Amino acid sequence: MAMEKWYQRSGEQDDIIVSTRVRLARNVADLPFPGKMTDGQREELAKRAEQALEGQALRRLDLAKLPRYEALGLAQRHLVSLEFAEQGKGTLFVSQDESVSIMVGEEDHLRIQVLAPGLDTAGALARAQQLDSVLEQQMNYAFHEKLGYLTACPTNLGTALRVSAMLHLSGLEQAGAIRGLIGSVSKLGLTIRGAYGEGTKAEGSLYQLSNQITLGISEEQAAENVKNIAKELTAKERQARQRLFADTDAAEDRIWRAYGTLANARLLSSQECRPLISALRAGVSQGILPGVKVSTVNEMMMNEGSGALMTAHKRELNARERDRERARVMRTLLTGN
Amino acid sequence: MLCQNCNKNEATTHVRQTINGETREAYLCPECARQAMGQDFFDGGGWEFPDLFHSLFSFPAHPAHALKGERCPVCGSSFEDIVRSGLAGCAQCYELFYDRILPSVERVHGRASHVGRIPEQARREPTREQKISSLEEQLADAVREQEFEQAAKLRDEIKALREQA
Repeated sequence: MAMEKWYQRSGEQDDIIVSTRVRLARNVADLPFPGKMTDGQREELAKRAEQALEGQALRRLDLAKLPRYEALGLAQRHLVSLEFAEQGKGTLFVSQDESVSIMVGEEDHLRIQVLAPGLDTAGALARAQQLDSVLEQQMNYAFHEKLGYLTACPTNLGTALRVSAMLHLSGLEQAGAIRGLIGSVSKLGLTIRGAYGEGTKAEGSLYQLSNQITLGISEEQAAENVKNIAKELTAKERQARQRLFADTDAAEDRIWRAYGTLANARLLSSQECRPLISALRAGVSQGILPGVKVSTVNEMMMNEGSGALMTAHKRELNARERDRERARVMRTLLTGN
Repeated sequence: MLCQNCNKNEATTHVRQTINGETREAYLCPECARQAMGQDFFDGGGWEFPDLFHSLFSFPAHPAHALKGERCPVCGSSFEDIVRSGLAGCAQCYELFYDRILPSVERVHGRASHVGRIPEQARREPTREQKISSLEEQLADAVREQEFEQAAKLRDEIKALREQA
């Protein structure tokens, strides 16, 4: 049996807070940053990382050897950035449960990333820092007394830490409260933006809350800020939903229709699928669908992407094939049929 | 050479400015150079997202490039390259172009210094601030003991360390 993935586990407030992500950027002192590296230097860097990570139970994947759709799948499951998947070079070290991924040769030499279900900023930070300590045994990090960890982009200087919480804010979105949120969150040194899509309307109502400032603020404080604001937004989201679900008949109808489509459709595009999964998650959260687990909704989210569908088939699929396959996977995950 | 503006500190930066065809040159200390260029040099607009960082570097119509054309010996980046891409080419760029990058860093993060985790390697070496405070203690002792020759030497060392900032 395949090993359990991080998103199949449960976490704090995981009906609304889908996941927590911590990312540390690190560079070595004696090589140019990836934008200026030669292929030889790239390979040298990957080799150093591999040696430093020996015994950490991480699998090495070289993007140049990976089919395009598989790289896309990694990006859709948030293991690598889309830019990294598209550049077609670089190396990834990934844990079996996919909670840990280390990108080598993205914008910075190393991007250490830890994903956790629900809200767990402290846990994810501790794991990332543990890997950081392992790496620094053999990597001579570029560091400046005043500027902190040196990163290619000056916005990451200092701790070079990005802490994010992925929030499902369907209630606040329907209440038209997102635009206001973006403004008030930015005053606190944080940002919030659609996890998919652009601007204030996010596909699937998923929003990413992250710290913006990395210089002059400790890792623990930055993590604490994201945690506190994520909790506050979650409380506001619950209030918005209470109002939204006051008309029980209409709310239940909407949720069960989403369930019906996901459980029975034979063709599903990604654009149709994501809002349905969003409705399903809200339904599970409100206790309307007692038979469905949050972890099942997570699995559906992680497997509806075209990259995941094609990776499972080990080949490129055309649009019709993908829609058919997506419908089948959603059905199977939801009903077992 | 002393700074041609304040006549106090060592000049480290060659500033050349061409306005309406008239070129002016000066050799300035880091502090005066920053003052001379800092405010209008990095005339960026508003920013919302990290990837818009390069917009922070946008120049006025007549850029006064200090040491124009200078390139990083490690990665070959010029300051103009960094402005264009919004990315430093290597760790050394931060040393070389420190005075010019700093105003933009402060726009994003405020006038802040790093706090938090420090690499093990850097932890083993005392920081400049730690060195200064240790020297200051020694200086106070020397003054108390009326060892003025030693005190003068310590004062010079402290001054030299401060100037590295």
